Amino acid sequence: MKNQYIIIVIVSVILSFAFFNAKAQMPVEINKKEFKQGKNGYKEAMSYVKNGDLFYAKGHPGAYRMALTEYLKAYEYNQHYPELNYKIGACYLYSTEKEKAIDFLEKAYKSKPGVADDIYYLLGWANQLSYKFDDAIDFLKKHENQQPQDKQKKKSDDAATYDVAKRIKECKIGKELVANPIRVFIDNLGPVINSKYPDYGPVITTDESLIIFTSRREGSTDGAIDPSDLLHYEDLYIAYNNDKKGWSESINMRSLNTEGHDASVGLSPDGQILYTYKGVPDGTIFESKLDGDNWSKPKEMNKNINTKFHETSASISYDSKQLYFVSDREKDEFGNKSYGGKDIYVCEKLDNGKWGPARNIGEPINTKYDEEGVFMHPDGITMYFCSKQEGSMGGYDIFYSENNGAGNWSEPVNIGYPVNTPDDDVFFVVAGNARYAYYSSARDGGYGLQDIYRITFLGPEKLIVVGSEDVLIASSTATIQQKVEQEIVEVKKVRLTIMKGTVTDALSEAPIEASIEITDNEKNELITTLNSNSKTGKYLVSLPSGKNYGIAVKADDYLFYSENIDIPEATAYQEVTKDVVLSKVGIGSKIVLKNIFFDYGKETLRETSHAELERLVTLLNSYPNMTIEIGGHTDSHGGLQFNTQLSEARAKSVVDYLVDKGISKLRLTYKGYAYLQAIATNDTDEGRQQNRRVEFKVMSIK
Amino acid sequence: MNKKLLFFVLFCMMFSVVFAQQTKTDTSQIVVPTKIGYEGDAAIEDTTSTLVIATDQQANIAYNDGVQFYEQNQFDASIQSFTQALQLNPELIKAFYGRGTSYIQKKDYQKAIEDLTKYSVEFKDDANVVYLMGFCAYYLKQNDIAIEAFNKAISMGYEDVNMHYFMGVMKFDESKYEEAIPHFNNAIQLDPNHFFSYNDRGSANRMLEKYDDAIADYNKAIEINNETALLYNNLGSAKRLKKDYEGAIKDYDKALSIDPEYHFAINNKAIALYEAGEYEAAIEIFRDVLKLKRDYAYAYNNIGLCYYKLKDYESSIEAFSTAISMNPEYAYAYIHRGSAKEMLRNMDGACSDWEKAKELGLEVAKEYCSVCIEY
Repeated sequence: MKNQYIIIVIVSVILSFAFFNAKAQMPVEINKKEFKQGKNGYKEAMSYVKNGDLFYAKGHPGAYRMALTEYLKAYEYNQHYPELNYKIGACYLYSTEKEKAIDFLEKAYKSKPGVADDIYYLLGWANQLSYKFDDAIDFLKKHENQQPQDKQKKKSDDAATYDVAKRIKECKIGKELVANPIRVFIDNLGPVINSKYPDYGPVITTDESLIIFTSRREGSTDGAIDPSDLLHYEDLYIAYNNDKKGWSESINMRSLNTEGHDASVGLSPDGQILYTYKGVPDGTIFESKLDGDNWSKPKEMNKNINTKFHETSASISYDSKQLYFVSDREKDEFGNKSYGGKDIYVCEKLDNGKWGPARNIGEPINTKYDEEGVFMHPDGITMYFCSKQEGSMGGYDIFYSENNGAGNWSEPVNIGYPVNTPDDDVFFVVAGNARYAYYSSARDGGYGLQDIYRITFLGPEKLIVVGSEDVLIASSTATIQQKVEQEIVEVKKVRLTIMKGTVTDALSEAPIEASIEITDNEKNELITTLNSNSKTGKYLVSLPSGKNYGIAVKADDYLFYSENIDIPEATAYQEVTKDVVLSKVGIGSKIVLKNIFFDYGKETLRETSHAELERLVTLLNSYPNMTIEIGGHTDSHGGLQFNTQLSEARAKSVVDYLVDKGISKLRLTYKGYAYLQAIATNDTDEGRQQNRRVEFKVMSIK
Repeated sequence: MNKKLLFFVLFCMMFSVVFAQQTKTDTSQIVVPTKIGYEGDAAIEDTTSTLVIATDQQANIAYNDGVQFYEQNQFDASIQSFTQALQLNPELIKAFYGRGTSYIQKKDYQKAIEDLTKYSVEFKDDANVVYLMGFCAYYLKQNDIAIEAFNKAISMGYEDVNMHYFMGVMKFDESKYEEAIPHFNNAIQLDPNHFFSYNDRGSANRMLEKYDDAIADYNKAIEINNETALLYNNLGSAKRLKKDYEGAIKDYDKALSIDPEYHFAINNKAIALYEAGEYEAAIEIFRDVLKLKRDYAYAYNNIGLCYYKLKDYESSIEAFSTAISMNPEYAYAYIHRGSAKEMLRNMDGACSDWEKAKELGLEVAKEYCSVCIEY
């Protein structure tokens, strides 16, 4: 049911971040003499104005939209009346289509400078939104210079509650940012995604193969209209771009959508966990998991996350160990007070798999202003969020901050114009490569009130060198070219590897739901475990640079698959496709143990091998009657005798480890094959690397 | 005054000094009464052997012929005569001097330096010859040798405005602008009207981004010589680099009023317009450059940049491509064309161009190429 609990938090989050309870109570005093349109003109116009005033007095975005409808009808009768123009302008400013406000406000001001107490403020704001920053500053200063008693009268007005000095600062910042725009393409995702209704809140997988977003289009669940703003209730929609050839038609996610508002606020990098928002009971985050092609019923997240306060957006870290979210709670569970308004909090995942107590992530990210739309990039370092904090050019701006690894966040950086505008810019999500991002905007040229756009970051302007030469030495004919500063502007690079692929059965080629364990080999620590999709076998893992990763793919009745990926710190973004084929446990089946490491030229096992060896122990314990052979293999460097001895000694080291862990000697044999069973060429480093290996082979299962 | 004429003036100035110094040197040391060493009758009075006298006389005759040919600017003939003199009398050392200076006139500095070296073995204290050897080394781009020679000449009490000037030029060529300035100062001290030194000191200041100092120097040079397009052009460029585009354009126009075909000034004037944001006007002027120099790759590159700024990326690519066809090694044009292709979302094309710029040695292109994998 479209129940009464659905408050319009989402609406206020998405559509009206700049809503400040403006309630200018001034009546529209229309002079009868000015109406020339027949006897009933005045009467009809007044009727519309009165209706409008009723909505206007309610002071929320939906009401302003409804008031506007009425005022615009009255406007048909008299387009020059200052108070009416003022109210129409104010309605636009306080709801949607803010860019339309300025013409009405200017008209009102020109015909009657004292049309309203806050006319300077609204004109300042409207000029700010129109990028006329100097004019905006002039008006805002005039507002500041008004007599104190005038200001006193507007205690409840936006003009009084909003920090006018802050808005002047925003205008100054706006001038700077607009003068130094960042180089981006901002592309509308087109009619396959966007509608003539508001579409917003995009969340994506890190490889941009999937997008989920919120729409208020026709066709929402039950087709009902939210009476507060006369728009359809929010529903979740999904679209795919698997081969990067374009987005599929967006589909209503019926299984998740309810009769009320359902909004997307976060998605795990692999697209397997979706976070949604509902206004009930107090602004709550839900979690839904993908099983095959079915999304589980959204489950309210635990009390560490959801409180009696409003919790809105959420973002899970690449290793699933942290959940970042936004809340307007008064303090966190460690006693740290809120910095004011909405702040960003983090919960750590506990050993039992549940989210632990929330902690305010503190300064410099959180401020006395609102922070929203948190997005933790899968590089594990960069957080994107929006905020009204100092440094904004108006309303919410998108900022980013980087974690230094010790839990400290860098000073937030405004991402710049034209991504940020003087209006609210929110819900910004970034692809794994950080070259592309998605957000919603009400910019011109869209399909509806708010559309979803893809941003392409082009990086700093490339070097521009005019062809100039002069003869600088009078006694020579030689020309000298203008000195060129070859300043190397570093393009910000993401140091991240995305590994993705499918897990299938070796014989049937059927997709397998497998668990994928990612281990930090150096620290011998399990980083995370995730699953491939049960229906498609697809998986995606995010691997920030700077680690030696051990990856084990495991499924019941299958031998595990082992992969080693060493990603040095300087490795830039890359996408690696690795399809994994699992073999069922059976006689003769074998696997290469890619995460077993020895000292150079010796049989001594390195500690980095322990995670892999422990997996082997677990497997052998699962099959107590299984006997196996451990085979050692080398590359062709060195003589046969040496390599035979070395490979055998290494195989024996593995066996010794297993015996030490309680596996019966009787179940274990070992053999050194030297380089006689090469699986790759010995002519290249890569080939030799593959040939140096330890294999595990099932000899019998009783 | 065009560049060739300017150079000729300098050359004459220098050699008038050479001759003057040589006259002084000959009179005091080689007992030669005139110019570069005419051998008079007195020189042969002391000979004893008839045969030797005959040979020496022939050598002296050949030497005197050489001097006359030299004075008539017939340097091939003078070289031939001095060579003949030396064949007849290898000890007629001054013939090495005569032939060496003839080689200088022929701009065969290597041979000149060889002859002057032989001369200086006997006349070690001849500072003028040390100076001339430095001069030859300068033209042979043997800056270390030239500077050593000039310094030696100075230590021998030799003073010459051009010597200081060339020392400044050599430092300038080595991009040692700070070190060049004192040499130009010395030259100016010796000759307060040496407008070359003012120009070049201005250029050193320009390279040091001391544009006000550069402008003062160029203005001083113009005060001495207001008929040289180069000086006005350089003054304009200093103003342009100081972002005084209006002033720069006026100076370029003055340069062009002196020499309407001074294409550097036309190109620079268009650059001033480009840098002032007047891209369409700049394009027209760049096209004027091409009327004078049809294969001027810089102008095509610059037209491409104007179109790039006007967001007419197709036209900019066309212009950059023409620049590249004029000069396939023009690495910046590849960078620019790549950027224009990027704006048209032709990332394969952009990356290909940046890759080419990288191959041509532009370090900065490596960074651009590094993101190509992400497209």
